[in-house]
Amino acid sequence: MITLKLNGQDHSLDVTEDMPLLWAIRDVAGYNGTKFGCGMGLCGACTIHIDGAPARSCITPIGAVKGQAISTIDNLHTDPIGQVVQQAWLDTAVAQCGYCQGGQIMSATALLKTNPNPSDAQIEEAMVGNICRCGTYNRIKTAIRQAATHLQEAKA
Amino acid sequence: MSALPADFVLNNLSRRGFLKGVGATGALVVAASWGLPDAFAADAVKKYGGDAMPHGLIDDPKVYVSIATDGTVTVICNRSEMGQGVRTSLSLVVADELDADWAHVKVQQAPGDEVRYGNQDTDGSRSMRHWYEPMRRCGASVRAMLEQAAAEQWNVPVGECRAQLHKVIHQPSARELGYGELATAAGALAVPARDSLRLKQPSEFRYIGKEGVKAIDGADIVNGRAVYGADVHFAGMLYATVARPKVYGGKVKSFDASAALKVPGVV
Repeated sequence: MITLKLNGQDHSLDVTEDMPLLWAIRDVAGYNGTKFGCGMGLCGACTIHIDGAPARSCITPIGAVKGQAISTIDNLHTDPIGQVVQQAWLDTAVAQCGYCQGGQIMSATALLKTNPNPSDAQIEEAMVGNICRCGTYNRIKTAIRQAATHLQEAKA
Repeated sequence: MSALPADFVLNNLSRRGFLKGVGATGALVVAASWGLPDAFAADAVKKYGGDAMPHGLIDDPKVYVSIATDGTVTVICNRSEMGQGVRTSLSLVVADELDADWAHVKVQQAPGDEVRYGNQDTDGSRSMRHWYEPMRRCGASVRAMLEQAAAEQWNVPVGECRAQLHKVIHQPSARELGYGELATAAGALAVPARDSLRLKQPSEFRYIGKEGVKAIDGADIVNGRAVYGADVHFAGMLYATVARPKVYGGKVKSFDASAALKVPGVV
């Protein structure tokens, strides 16, 4: 049994330590918001937060995150910065199919938590690992800029 | 583009029906039936566009639209969403003809059942081309049924009742009833004949061709609640995967599953 601190709750999961965190989150704990894309850490669809930092859950063994706080897109609406990012995504109508957007939003939120006013270059650097088959990159950037603006206004 | 008259009624008039109608007052159809019987027989069965697709088009509003007593309008989407926005666009067409408040419209995904839902192929950019008119007829039918139900309740001519943004209004007496209040009575009425439907003029469109309507699945997507194929789980469900050759064009020479079958869960 492995205890996973997931979305603010402890989950006791009967899995082996080498199970990819993504499988444990989706197939065992039952949170479906995090997506399987490539299984090799190349696409970013499976992005989650480990103690607030973005990580690819498909290549992270569950045994490597014992005791660390894992959060997923399913619970992001409880995060004040996450809420701002989600609203910016809706206002900008970013999503087409939406399959990658959970991962995009998780990466964007992690960026804005450490850097609330990123430059375009910093946005590109933070988001380069999240790919989108629909090609919504320009709207993603617009949404991140909008979220950053809102965060600046809230601070002022 | 010239404007259509305000009392324009969409007629579903086939060429064969037209000739029959002419035949009632003239001799044309008699001559035709002597001279070109095969050509006209073929004309009657030949189908085009959505009608020519397997299982064709269905415009029965009782299949596609329901209204709950709280006013929530649920539209069935018979096509697969792939990011093209079809769950939003087809529902929007129904909502427009129905004059529904978009904030009270929900979409429900149809299961694969072409006998019930008509053709469900989602390809060839055909969903809107083929289903625009049937979805408009669904919306217009329900609008007419709501107006009829209101007229019967108020005991006034249906012509004095007008559906407008989720309620039916009787202008002479300034009375109104919400769609939810009328849902049960309207649902008990017969579906109006296709030829009797009044479709909106483009100038009357509330949503079609207008900006500002958000995708119906937007909130679900940004919250990780949107359901994709990989998110569907059934008890005892098995998963298959394709084992691909390491070289391009490789062919199977032999197959030994014994090692794979030793892995827990592999059957």
